[in-house]
Amino acid sequence: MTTFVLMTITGMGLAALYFLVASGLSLIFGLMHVLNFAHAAFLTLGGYTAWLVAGASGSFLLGIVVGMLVAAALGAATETGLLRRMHGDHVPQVLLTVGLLLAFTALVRAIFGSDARPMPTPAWMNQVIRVLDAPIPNSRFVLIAAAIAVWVVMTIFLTRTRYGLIVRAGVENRPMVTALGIDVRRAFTLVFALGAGLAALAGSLVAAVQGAVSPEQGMTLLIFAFIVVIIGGLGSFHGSALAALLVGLLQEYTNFYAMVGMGDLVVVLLLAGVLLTRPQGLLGRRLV
Amino acid sequence: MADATDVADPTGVAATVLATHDLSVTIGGVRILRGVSLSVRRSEIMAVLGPNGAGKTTLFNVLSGVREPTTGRVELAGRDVTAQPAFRRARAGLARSFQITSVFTSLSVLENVRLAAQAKRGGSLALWRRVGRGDPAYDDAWQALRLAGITAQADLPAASLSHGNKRKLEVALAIVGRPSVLLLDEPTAGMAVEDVPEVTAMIRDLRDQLGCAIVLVEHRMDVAVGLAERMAVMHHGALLACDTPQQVMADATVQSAYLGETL
Amino acid sequence: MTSVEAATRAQEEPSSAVAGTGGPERRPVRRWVIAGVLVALAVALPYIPLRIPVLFDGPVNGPGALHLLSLMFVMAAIAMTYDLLFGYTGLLSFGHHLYVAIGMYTTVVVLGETDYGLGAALLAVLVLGLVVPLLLGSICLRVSGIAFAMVTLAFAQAGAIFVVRDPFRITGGELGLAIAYQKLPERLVGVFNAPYRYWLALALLVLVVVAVRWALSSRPGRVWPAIRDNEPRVAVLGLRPYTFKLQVFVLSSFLATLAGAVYAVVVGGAYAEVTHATFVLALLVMVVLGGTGRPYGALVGGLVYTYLVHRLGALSSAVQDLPAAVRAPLMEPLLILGTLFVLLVLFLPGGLVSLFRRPGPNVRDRLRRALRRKDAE
Repeated sequence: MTTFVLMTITGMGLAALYFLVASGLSLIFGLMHVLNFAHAAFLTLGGYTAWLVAGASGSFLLGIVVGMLVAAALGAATETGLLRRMHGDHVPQVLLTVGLLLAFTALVRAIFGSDARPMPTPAWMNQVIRVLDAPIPNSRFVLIAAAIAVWVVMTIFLTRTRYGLIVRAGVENRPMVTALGIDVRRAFTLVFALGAGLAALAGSLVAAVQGAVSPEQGMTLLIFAFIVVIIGGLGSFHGSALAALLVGLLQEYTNFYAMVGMGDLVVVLLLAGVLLTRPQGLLGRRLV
Repeated sequence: MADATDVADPTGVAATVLATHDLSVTIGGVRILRGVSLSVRRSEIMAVLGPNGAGKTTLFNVLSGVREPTTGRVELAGRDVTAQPAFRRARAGLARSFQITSVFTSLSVLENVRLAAQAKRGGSLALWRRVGRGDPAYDDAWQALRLAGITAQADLPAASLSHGNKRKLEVALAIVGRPSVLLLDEPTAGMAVEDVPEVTAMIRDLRDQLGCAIVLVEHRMDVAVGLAERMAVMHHGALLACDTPQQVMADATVQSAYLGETL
Repeated sequence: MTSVEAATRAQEEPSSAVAGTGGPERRPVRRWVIAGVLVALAVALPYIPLRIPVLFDGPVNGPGALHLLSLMFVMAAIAMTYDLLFGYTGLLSFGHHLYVAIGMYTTVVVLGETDYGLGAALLAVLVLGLVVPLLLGSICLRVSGIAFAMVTLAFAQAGAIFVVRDPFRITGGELGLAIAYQKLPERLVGVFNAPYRYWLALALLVLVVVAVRWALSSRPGRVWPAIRDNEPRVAVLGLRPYTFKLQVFVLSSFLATLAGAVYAVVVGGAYAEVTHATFVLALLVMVVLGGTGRPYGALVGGLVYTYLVHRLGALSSAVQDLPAAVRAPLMEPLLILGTLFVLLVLFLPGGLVSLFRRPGPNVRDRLRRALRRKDAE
């Protein structure tokens, strides 16, 4: 029983991590139909900014906030300066984000080196609480709490605010929104900036949990972000939450009850399976 | 609802190349086609008329295999092709041009049509067969280009053509396979008035030279009346009448449906 | 054809050659001559003790330079196979590297873990190179666009996981596997036999170039660009796009698997880096750099990219008095290449090869270049 509880909570922690990593991507993909490889760059950016700021100021929280702001600003700049020039051509946009990712990762390697740098994680994150006799590190709960917070805030944004409404309408029927005279482009920029900010948040939390930052960390996480977004359904924010839960738990249980390493394989095969049987994902086309 | 196996050929035996039986298409609760039954005879020119939303393009989509009907049958030369996808019907002799020009943009005009000819000739999967300057598909392509009247543009990339020439390329692509039935979706769409007679002449020429039946969706009344031997009038997804132009114009249901509307 | 028809035809048909997708066929003799000279030069290279400072460390026929050239040739070959899929048929695959990995690892594992020799390894590579893409392709091609890109990525990831986790203890995990030298012909082993590996890589490149050009001038080869331009229209013509896509997928992957096997011999082992998604992203950069869907675009892109990745660091050290701020980025070739890639996508979508197109009223090419960007959907 203890192991089951341990597995479940660890799985939920993993799910929370996946959701955080995927949430920004889901928004961007849903509204703009851009498969944003640069998402990995923002993940890495978040990690390194948090590391730098936390190292300088001693406050991890400040590091996260600064990271989110910087990423959001860069995201807005990227969208207006670069992506917009592509006039909605999907393949060139994807290529552009690939180039940005490669260049950015190389830049990080050039400045900070390829080795992983240890992250000054607050000590209490590694302390362990017992839940039904299962030892769970606090970091898992931080992840779960952060994921829930993001979910709640984003849902409120999408359902209760004007821009959120525009974003949702844009996902369902972009030409109509433009025809109504609403400037969809500003929504695009906002969404991209938001997505970048969420990525930075995820990146810094992951760095804290893993205790280190490395140039490759964004790319490693990106695959799982893609998997979650696609399984959940392109453009469905709730879908990616559901998919993250499914993937996290499935991976954890399989790794334990079947064989270590099988978890990753099962998740990848799940992606293939979903794409072939239900390409629109679990929750289809709608954003919320 | 009118049935089209009628007046001029009471026995209905004069080689029906294309027929539909009680064709219906319902999407999301909306009945786009309602029980359409018509037959097209060999080498006849039939015009399908109706206002926007009457279901003409849907009818074409069902005929060419791009869309599946909810109920009903489509028969090509007597054989039931309702379940066959587009590429099979194309091989069986049904060709179609599109209302919104749909060509291969990076290929030249000649290459566009040559490809269509190759497709019709078969054996396109043969990796070991070369395509050189002497390829027989080029002969078919030139013939089609001549019939469509765009030989002068043969070397230009398809994307650079004027609208009128693109429509001609559309036609060339459709006829290169020597189809037995040619579906032309709004062949004069977007054309200047002075270009229309050329197209009309071309359509009649096609029928004379290729012997195929031509079904065209047409908005311009004068074009339809001038070309068609029979006209099929549609309204809200139903077939109101299918007869010679004179009979159709005189038909009471047609008149009441279009009272006040200009076709 | 009667004489009247022939005369009419001669009048109508332009005397210039037929415009196709593969580029003008005018003066094919000149192309063959150029190609022949280049190949002859390449073959003779190991006998030419030429020193080109800055560009190469040591003489051009020394083991260092020959090894670099071998890598360039192998990468260019793989890039060409990728261009067949992406540039010509419009299939954006994020899993192409899986086949290179299969070629590499099959060769090394058969030689290392079994009692069989090179012949058996080659046979295994050929068989797997046909069967695996046939199987995976038939599944992946059921979807298209982004979904296709992601499924191919998924299967490649599965392969990567298999290699890294190494459940059967044969792949060497993250560290990779060295090739069993004792089983290779003596000619291919050792530093001083670099020329033989070089010739092997050259042979691969020539084979791939010939195979790709041959495929593109075949009947199905003319259908692939049409699928890229307008897939639904291909179906309306009476052709089933799925079959043609599967055909080019198998061909391209088969050649990539073969290239993987040669790669293993050239580098002396199999490496887990080949299974990472960054490898296929690099392929993407190579083909876009050179120019997608153009006769030798991927070739040029592959050569240039591989050269720069390996030599940029050395180049920066060669130039004295560089401030550290400039030197550090140069040591990371992907920074320059990534930025170059972004600039290319923005301003020169036709790639490097488009720079060398004959200037002048060549409206057709300029249009095609511009259109390729717009129609790249």
